[in-house]
Amino acid sequence: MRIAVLGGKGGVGKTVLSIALASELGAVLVDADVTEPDTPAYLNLERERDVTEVRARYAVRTDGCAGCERCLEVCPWRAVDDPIACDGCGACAIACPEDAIELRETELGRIAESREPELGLRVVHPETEPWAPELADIVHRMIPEDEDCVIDCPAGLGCPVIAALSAADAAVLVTSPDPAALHDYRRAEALTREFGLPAVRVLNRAGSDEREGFDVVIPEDERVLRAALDRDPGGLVHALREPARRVAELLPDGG
Amino acid sequence: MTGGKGGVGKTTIAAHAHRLLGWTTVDLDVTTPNLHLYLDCEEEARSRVCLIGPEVDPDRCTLCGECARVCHSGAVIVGRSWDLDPGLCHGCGLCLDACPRDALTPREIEIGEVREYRVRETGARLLSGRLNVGDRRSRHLVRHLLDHTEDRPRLLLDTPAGAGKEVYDVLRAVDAALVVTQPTPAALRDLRRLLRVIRVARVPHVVLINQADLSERWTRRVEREVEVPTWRAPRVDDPLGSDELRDVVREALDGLREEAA
Repeated sequence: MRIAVLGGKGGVGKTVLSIALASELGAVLVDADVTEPDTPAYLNLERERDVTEVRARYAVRTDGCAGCERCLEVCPWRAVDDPIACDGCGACAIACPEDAIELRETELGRIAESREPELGLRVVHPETEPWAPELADIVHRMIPEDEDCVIDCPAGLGCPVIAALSAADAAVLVTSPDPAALHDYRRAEALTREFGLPAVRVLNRAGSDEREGFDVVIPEDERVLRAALDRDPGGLVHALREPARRVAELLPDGG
Repeated sequence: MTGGKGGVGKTTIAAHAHRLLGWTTVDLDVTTPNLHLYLDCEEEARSRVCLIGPEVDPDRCTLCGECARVCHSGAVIVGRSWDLDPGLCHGCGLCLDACPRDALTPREIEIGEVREYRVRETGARLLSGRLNVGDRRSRHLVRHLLDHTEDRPRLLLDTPAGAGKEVYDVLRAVDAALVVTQPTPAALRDLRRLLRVIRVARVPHVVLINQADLSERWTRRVEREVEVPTWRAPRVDDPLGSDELRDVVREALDGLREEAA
């Protein structure tokens, strides 16, 4: 089973819950936050192997350029000659009447697989430049083919989250009780519904009175913050073991 | 206003900055826009945001496939029939130009909308980009907002979390950046990556360490690593109503003005 952990808003506890859940299920943890992967900040990772290289194309004008700027007209990002902005789509090369656009290739990093020795957890995580293009493709390449995994989604509901949901069998929706997080959470819920996925709904850092509409409620817990500050993966998983177990029980076939 | 890691308080700080400056403000976190919930405001208008894609006239189309050959995103497929997946179209217009028989005409493909609010306290506008749920073209909506917002040069832009190409697009368009972070290992890691992007975009910036009293140790690490001025903001019970937080934001904005000068 593949489980996507998402929520819309950042900072609601997606990554810590993903770590606890993957640990509970004995599943591979996939860090789908390609531009800002955070799992290495919570875990003491020992690198095992490179899964694959991440390469990207970018467009540059060559000597044949007649200066008509047709390339820039068809590029929404005006990214010709700017490898950071260019997404390598090649529209400029098709449009150029002088055939003067060259698409160069560069290496932007790799996808790595590491081990967290204390938790016995395997983690697939990106190690690329933050401006890597085609984030959805990178997410798809990180998801193992024949193994159970927990996919920790980035904040927002963009391409990488959609890629994770399209590969997932179930979703865990996480929010905190504040109005902004709940607003984003409802959009995340709508997106998950579009994919027809079963979802476990988690309210994290709950006060005493809010719990309606949630399957699992996790009270505010200083131990989680302390474990994050001390980079103590064992303490983190210990503090979240009970809620992670309840989430696992509510997943189809117990995860 | 930018912040790398989500949930560090970027939007709270953006709300304070809006109230201090009274500038037109744009919420560019288009997949999860929520700045309007942090400000007392009233919606005044909504407008659809569309890309221009192709529409086929079946009587003219001979299925020659020229349009599909120039379509780099694979949105146009020509076999025994002409077909468009509107969700894949990026609006480059190459297909429209390529058709030898003028069988394609422009059509609108909606990707989201812009909601315009009036903020009661400041009388200033808040523009909020909202991508349709499930659409993958967030970067196009960010681009639209960057290109179509008036009131320059007094503009406050709230970026999405992360440090990818959308954030780079915003950084390329601005004169200065207030970077919000928190004293935690994850936020510091994200800050480092975001600062690399900021340096590439060559944007003057300062760093505000929100909830600095969470950890003296990690606050010091942030201050040691960052090569620009930093400010410490405290943990407070009511972040939006806190005078103490507002004062730190004011100081950071003054410091940013000096950096940018």
